[in-house]
Amino acid sequence: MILLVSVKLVNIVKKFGKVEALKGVSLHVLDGEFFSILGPSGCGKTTLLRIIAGLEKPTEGRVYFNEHDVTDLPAEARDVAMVFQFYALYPTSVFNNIALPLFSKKYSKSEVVKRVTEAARLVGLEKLLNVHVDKLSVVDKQRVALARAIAREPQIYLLDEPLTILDPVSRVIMRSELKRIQRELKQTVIYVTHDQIEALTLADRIAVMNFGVVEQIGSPHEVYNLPASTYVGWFLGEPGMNFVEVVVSKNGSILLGDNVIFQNQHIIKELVNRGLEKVLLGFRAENIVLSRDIVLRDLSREVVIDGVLRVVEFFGTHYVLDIESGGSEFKVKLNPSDFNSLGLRENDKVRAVISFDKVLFFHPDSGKRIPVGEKV
Amino acid sequence: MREYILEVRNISKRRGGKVILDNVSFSVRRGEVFVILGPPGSGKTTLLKIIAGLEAQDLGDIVINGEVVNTFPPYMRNVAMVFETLALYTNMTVFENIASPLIAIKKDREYIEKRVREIASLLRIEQILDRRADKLSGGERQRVAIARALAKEADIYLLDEPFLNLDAKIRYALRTEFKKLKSIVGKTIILSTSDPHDALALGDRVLLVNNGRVIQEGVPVNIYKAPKSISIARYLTGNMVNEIFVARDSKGEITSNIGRDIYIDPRVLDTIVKFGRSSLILTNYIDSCIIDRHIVECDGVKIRGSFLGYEFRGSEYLVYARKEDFVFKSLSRKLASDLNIGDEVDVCLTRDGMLFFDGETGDFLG
Repeated sequence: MILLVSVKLVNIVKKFGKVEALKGVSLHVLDGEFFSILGPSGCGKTTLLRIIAGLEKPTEGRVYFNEHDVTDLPAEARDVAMVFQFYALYPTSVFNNIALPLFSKKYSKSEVVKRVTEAARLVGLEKLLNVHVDKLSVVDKQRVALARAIAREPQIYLLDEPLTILDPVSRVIMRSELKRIQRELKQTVIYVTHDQIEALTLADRIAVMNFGVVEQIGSPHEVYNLPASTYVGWFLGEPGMNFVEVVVSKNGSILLGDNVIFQNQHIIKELVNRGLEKVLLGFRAENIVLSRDIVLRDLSREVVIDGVLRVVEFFGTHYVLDIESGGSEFKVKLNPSDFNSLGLRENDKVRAVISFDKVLFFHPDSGKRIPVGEKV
Repeated sequence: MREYILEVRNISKRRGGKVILDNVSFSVRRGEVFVILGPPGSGKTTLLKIIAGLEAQDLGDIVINGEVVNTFPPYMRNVAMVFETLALYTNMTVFENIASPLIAIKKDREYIEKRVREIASLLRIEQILDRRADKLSGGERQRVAIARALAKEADIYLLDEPFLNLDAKIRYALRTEFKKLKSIVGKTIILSTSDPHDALALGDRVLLVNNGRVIQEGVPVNIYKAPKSISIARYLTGNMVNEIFVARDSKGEITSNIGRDIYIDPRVLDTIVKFGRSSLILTNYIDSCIIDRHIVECDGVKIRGSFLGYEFRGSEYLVYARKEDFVFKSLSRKLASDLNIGDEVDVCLTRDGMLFFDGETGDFLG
């Protein structure tokens, strides 16, 4: 019988000597959810996973599976399965590799065969059960590692960058399979990765971490389009979100340097009411329309920034342009045909127009997003 | 003043019987960022060392400012070679970071003080010289890294894999900063890399090398649009290229490696015939390929395949489809929401973005 398990972490702190690797992490992974923990190396994501697995003890805080406090339970009593980036397979057949953890649990032979066959079917290894693992491709070896975890029928799957060693096409195939398997098993998966594409593609929800802190938890579209902080905006996307510091004028304008770039009484009143004289405007490089024209625009609906093109970078499928204006810089992403039709050269004057629904406001000190005028 | 600050003429080098460089020639303009791109072991570092005078060539000439410098020791060539990556020493101050290469070559204290302040002023970081490197903002960190790389005085800077082992975000920012500062610094920079992104984004011109030979040279956009061979197209894109192999049999009929279930637009057929080769590889980069449930009009080559999966990249999707063992990739702003793995889809390699290579040699045809 499948037991659905949620994972709740309450104020988890982990110290290694004087270093605080986790600084009070709280999150709730719902039962049956594909949940990803995303962050750069050293952000504490693997430590967090090890705490959930019971391989590390938190310095402070509690870990709950459903409503049960498992903080003091050892790893073997938690019934979780971990799959790592580097699989460790035994030099024997696929069947034996999947079956070995089951033998130690003293299942009957028929039960072992049933579980191994079912796990192999799920990951697409049913025809290779008698093959020696040395003869397998890297993808199939990772499938064996996955099947070994599945055969145990754990309560929770904990995956630590399991696809990193695969080539790009194999990674896409395995991602699709992981997602399909998870949907079929309907079990809770917590997937740790530094690779934003992995998290954005696979997860129902993502926790974005930075220096031992969870910056945001949300769906892939939420964290990308509505980042909770400048860090999340910068970390996700290539290039990351643009942030320019602007002045909120009491006469109802937003200024970048000496130029009025936006005028909307309602929005500006909200910012003024919050006591903000300066804010950071956040917008994505791909949401900017670049032109050479300087015709009048409706500044209540669009942010209009006149600037100078400083740097052009070519990436094959697109160009990234660096625009300087009022002492700030931001990036614009253009496809080659748009770039070529503009006929731009470095140091040309340009106009950047961003539809207001693609602009976010962030606090200049805390970097937190200020929910002003957002259509959520 | 001469247009070319550096001319590399027919340089060859063997080491232990193995050919490291084979008749390499190219010229570098004054003030440009010139990128030597090639896979590990292709001879990039040896080439830079020969330019710097740290290693001798077996054959050929190095010409700097119009003068053959083959017999000149490194210090007489006015060239600085930077081996380290652009990662900073976080336990040091900005001043110490920039000074470190000068201390390593035993410059006196007075010179170091003057030179560090000079380069810091050029890169507008003089106000943070006393700050520890781990207390810097991202932008400051990048400028300090570049300042350290350019600390030694020289006309030509040779940077060997400066972005190696750097985090992707930092690498991205550093490249931009480098490009931005190029005109301020006004020096000639030659850097080696094995990452095509570095070369395309940063280089004014790029020299592609492999197995010690020059494979192609040119402006990044031109190399990308007209790679001399299918191998170069694959290398530049990290295999993010769609390929279909077609052959003409004795009756002039076209067959493909993915069977007969393929539509080829008459204009593409005309081009295939025009090249007069027995076989060709038709390719599309991922931004010229479309994958969707049904594509009514395809002006290039259309195949019926199955949906393999996708990557969500925030601003776009990379959609994968397969036809038998062949995988096709398409970059798209949208993803058909009702697609499931294994669903039938159309793959269209558009005519506009199609490149043709000889099926036997892999050479670029047009």
